[in-house]
Amino acid sequence: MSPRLNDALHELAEGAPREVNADRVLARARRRRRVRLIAVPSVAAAAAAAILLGATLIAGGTEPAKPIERPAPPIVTKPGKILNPPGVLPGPLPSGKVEPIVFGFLDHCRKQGLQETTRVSGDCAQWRLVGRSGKQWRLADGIGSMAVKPDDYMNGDAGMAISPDGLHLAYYRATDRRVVIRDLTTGRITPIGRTTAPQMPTTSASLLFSNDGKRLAITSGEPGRRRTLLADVSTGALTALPDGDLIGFDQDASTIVLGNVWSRKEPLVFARPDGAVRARVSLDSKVNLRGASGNLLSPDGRTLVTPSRGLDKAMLVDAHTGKVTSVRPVRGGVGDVLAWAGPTKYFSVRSPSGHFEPRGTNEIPTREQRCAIVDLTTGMYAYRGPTFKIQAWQSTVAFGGFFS
Amino acid sequence: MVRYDGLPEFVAARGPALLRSAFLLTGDRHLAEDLVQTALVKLAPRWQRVSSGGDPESYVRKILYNEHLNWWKRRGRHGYPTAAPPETAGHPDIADRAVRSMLLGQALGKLTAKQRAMIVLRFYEDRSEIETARLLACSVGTVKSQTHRALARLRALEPGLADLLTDFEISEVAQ
Repeated sequence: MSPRLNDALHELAEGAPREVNADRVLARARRRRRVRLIAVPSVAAAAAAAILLGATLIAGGTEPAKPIERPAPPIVTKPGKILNPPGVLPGPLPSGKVEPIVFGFLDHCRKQGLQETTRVSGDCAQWRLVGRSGKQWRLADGIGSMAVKPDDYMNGDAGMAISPDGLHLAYYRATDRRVVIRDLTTGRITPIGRTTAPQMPTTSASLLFSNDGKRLAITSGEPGRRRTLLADVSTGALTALPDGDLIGFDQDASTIVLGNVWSRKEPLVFARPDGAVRARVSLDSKVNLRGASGNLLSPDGRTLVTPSRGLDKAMLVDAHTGKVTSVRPVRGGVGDVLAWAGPTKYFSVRSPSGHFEPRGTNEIPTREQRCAIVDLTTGMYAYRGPTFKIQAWQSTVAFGGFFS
Repeated sequence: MVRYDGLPEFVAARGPALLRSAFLLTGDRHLAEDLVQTALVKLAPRWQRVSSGGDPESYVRKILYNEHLNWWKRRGRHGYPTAAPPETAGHPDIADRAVRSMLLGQALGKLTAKQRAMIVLRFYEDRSEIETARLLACSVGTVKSQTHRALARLRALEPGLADLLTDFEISEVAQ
């Protein structure tokens, strides 16, 4: 017996669901009992009916009843194949339990040019979701391509975020344009915010789950005047945070860092989940937040990861002092910090075969992306999970389900 | 309700532990829930008799493991295999719990159902070889050989887990 293997298995088992629904067990047991009690006579009756029906068909030539329509099975894309071949659309996401989602994308109906892509509508304009097994669905009740005009000068896609465990989705619901959270383990949909203050932004916002998936940050507004709200994923309750872009939050979002990525002079604000300011920290003048994206604060809340001017090095900043503690080259660039795999490792995205195929031809570009774990101690990365390949002139993607 | 008296309390008390074992067996939260529900539904008609015997958990665990093996036989692999394996070069630092759990989960998902059951029973539930053999309705020799193969396969699949697997001295026993 290895205590270390035992510990590791116990850690792994922590990912299990928390409780069994006893009512459902009893309901299934009772149903099973009823079925058994009536099974024998029913089967006999069904057999007799089948014989009678067969005889009638043979004798009278009556047309057989049409088969009951069932929803088409979800599209399953094999690894390395294009997720959005022309003319093929997956079915809607089932309303109940669904496997963890690991990838989402908008291909804007494969249209070219801003005028076309901003006008697409219908099923092909919806977010498409890829599950852990490669199954694919449409987020049919959500808003997708270019349907929301944000406060700033550009049109924008309606945001969608996948939690790090792949079990929650945050998106704009089409019927009321509210951000909602769907729990994929039950199908339950929780609208974010109430009719009372703080108000939800009515325009497109960026959505980001905390590393433990229990909170959602919603950032909106014009560059330099952004506002971030923090939502409790289980209840939908919303808290207004101090003004600023979301820079990051620690593992359970007990500390949230906000700042103005357009101004190096403004200090970072460290806030609590209730919105209270915990501290203000001036940043080292060398630190550049403009190329940064995602959750830059390490799960222990001690270090901020910021990209160098060339985006090829990580500048590690002491979150308590704002000073740069080290600068390390990162193979493939710092990239987006999507979620954290440990105190010094984060999930990011890499393009195994480059970003885009060259333009200038009529060939629709192919975009290949794959999740990778970047190790800040070595500057290396290791791929994780499948490569997602889509064909589109313009596309928006979302990754998640890193721990699924 | 008399028929199921005490069953809801048993489900509430022991359900989470059953879910954890089922999660390690299936590698999937949804399948773990299904597996535990199925085992409990099968337990329900015999609940009065089994609970009066004093150890319903052993009974339901036996159903759970057999059901897991039957699923495998009937429907093939139930885990959701990663489409592409993680890079073999440059294994992430094993000290990181999240990464280690991820790697262990992936490696377990590549074992056969029986091998995974051996790992869970022997090293998670800490069962003896005799208990494991009784629960899986096989011989002690089979437990030894399957456990040996499972550990060897884990080592081969994910060298980054080597430090978890260094303490074992299991001699292979021919079946």
